[in-house]
Amino acid sequence: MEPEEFSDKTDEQLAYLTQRGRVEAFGFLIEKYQDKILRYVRRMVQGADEPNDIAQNVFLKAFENIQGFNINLRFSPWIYRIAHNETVNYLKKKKPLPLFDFDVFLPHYNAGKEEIENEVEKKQQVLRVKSFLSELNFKHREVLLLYYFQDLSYQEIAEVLKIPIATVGVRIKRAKEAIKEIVSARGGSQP
Amino acid sequence: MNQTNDVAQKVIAKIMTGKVKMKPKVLFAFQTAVLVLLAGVAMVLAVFLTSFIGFALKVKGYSHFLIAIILAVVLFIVLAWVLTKRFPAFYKRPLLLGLVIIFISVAMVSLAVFSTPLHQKIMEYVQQNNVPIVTPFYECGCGCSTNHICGSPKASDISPQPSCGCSGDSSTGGSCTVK
Repeated sequence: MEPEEFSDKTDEQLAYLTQRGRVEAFGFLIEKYQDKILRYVRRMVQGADEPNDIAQNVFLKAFENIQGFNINLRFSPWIYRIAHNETVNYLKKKKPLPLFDFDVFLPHYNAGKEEIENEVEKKQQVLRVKSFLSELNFKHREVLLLYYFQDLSYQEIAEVLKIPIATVGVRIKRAKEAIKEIVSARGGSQP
Repeated sequence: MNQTNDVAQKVIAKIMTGKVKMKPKVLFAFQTAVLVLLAGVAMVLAVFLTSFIGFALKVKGYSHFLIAIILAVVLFIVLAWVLTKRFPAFYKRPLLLGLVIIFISVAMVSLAVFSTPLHQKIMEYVQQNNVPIVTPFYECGCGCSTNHICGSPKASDISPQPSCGCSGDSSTGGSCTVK
């Protein structure tokens, strides 16, 4: 099979071919995801010298563990899960992260429904979020990054972070509130 | 863009040179099996200890009652950790709900076990045979060297003629019975 023939395959089909020993299929998956993963890693470990090394490790871990991927599930949450683990491990070496988040403990009613935003609203939100991302804490930054920049749904974010869907909604809401607070603390000046 | 190409090239190079290899599928099946087994063992132990706590409440004077409660709590935490780590049905729900589900399941099965003579039989057995770890849990909390009804006065406090209400001859070893 020629590499161009991979272009009509889904991520899950490419993962399946990789499981069957087709390394070129994995090469195609890397090409599809490398920009996204590198962008995610750079924003998560802002100021780090080695985002490329972390991104490289993500793909190496993905290849090592590809046999553990269930092809009946979506590939993107699976690879973002690996990227999440790699960035968390990196950040833990720099400073300790909380072992337990209490927002996964209690139920949050009506928080799991995604807000309906049209394209224009979403683009505005992306610009707004982008300016303040570096000022948010780790867990708020990550959900906004996955939702607005990586275009994952609440369901997929829940799968990546292994947290309840309602908690994703709560974190996004709190992250937006944190941005509002930063804006008001600066006298309401928005970029 | 050059940086991303650099990442892709390095990854492919490491794969092609054999520096990085796929882990076999059987390893992942084994890991899942170990987790399922761990959850199963934790569940059985949690049921056993919870029913034991009920049994100890029924029979006065058990000295290891507190340890059993602590162990049961530890097992609940292990069970919750294993289930939320691997199984979407648990980590997609609030942790509190997961813990409540685990607690109710364990409590219901424990209630069924509690209604059987299992702990009474184990107690009778360990009184005759010393079983490491298990025996101390079933010893009378009164510190008697001989077997008698749990909760009655210590052997040192009583006259040679047993007055503690043993079901059998305490000098030859009567068995503890549930009050």
